Amino acid sequence: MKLQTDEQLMRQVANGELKLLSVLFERHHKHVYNFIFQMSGDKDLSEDIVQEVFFKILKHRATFGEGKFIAWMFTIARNSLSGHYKKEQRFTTTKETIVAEVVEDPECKEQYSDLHAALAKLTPTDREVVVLNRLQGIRYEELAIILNSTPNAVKTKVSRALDKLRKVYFKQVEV
Amino acid sequence: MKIHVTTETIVALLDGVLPESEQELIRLHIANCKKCKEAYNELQKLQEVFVKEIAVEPSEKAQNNFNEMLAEEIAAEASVLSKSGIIWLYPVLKVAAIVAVMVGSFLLGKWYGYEQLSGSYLALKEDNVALKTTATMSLMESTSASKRIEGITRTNDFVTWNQEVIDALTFRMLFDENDNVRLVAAQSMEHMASDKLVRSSFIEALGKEKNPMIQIELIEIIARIREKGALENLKQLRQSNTTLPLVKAQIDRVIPEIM
Repeated sequence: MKLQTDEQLMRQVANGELKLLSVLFERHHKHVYNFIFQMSGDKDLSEDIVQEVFFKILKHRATFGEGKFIAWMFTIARNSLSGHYKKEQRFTTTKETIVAEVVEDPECKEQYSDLHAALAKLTPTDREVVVLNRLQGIRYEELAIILNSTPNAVKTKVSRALDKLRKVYFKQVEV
Repeated sequence: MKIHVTTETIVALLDGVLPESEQELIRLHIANCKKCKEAYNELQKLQEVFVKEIAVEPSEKAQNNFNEMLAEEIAAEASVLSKSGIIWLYPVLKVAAIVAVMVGSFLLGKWYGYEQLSGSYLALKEDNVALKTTATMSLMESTSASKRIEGITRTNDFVTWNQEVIDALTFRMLFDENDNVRLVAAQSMEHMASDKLVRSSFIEALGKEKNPMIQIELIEIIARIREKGALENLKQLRQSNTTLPLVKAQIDRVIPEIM
């Protein structure tokens, strides 16, 4: 049987076949979880946001348009994370230090890879584009939709962020 | 000064998307330039690190919570469908409610605006703020659209807005016959978005507005102030056959931001 695309499944969910959302959950919840975990370093928060994202997808299923499901889902995910930080009153200026502190904490350090530790030292904007493009495999075209930008601008952003990550990562592993 | 290969080019080369015609030249430069060679080697190693990075597994709780949530929604949906005997009434009731709210708001806004206006004249000579407000209000009542726009623009300089000004601006945004006046009124009212009534008036305006450019501006404002109460109206506008594709695309873009 031919595998249905995410978009075909989501349209059926929007038309009332709610059970099919479990197929989309199965396919993508780990991506959302890992994206939030790489961004926040917090496993409990990552689980809560996965729940919130799929709850919003279910509640607002009728608003799914003609675009790519993955772009829609990650837009919801990053807005949910940003909403969480706003609620916690941890705005962009302090967001980066929180993640870096969590990752650097000796008690927690073991659960983070060298890559995660290096990512934590980037700004949230740089970290976000690297995680989405390189770890979650989101293409420049879809990333442009998520970030409300253009594919070329996103390509440049990703390259610049990779350059910063390269310097941080190799400085860190040399120590 | 020596020119180096950009990171963007090295990344494109590693991703295999650099045009073949450029590849040879770039590889030659990298082979002979210490700095570019180091960047190339490190970015290549970094790519391997990305591939080897092991995804973290969420606990079973995530799956269980999702199953529970989905089951609840399916049950709720089934319960709504079982009441289908009165379902035909919903659209009728919705339309009736919208009409009642619109007419009510119009009459209330107008009555309230005139009441406030007549009262404020008494304080004119003593109070500079009141004078400024009244002058602005007078401009907003002018028969000339450019004067009305001038009056609306003046409210941007106000430090605080009293109910009189908010009502006048709301009236202009909802009912002015001139497109530019309605647009400028909407833009000015964004400064007052902390006011609950102002936020709801954006929703009301979205339901009334027929000019696509103003619709887009209203959608943008609603997205910026993240007014969740507008979601239903956005959905309706999205589904309407008369809504332009450009406006629909804008709605598709902002809905996830508001959610």
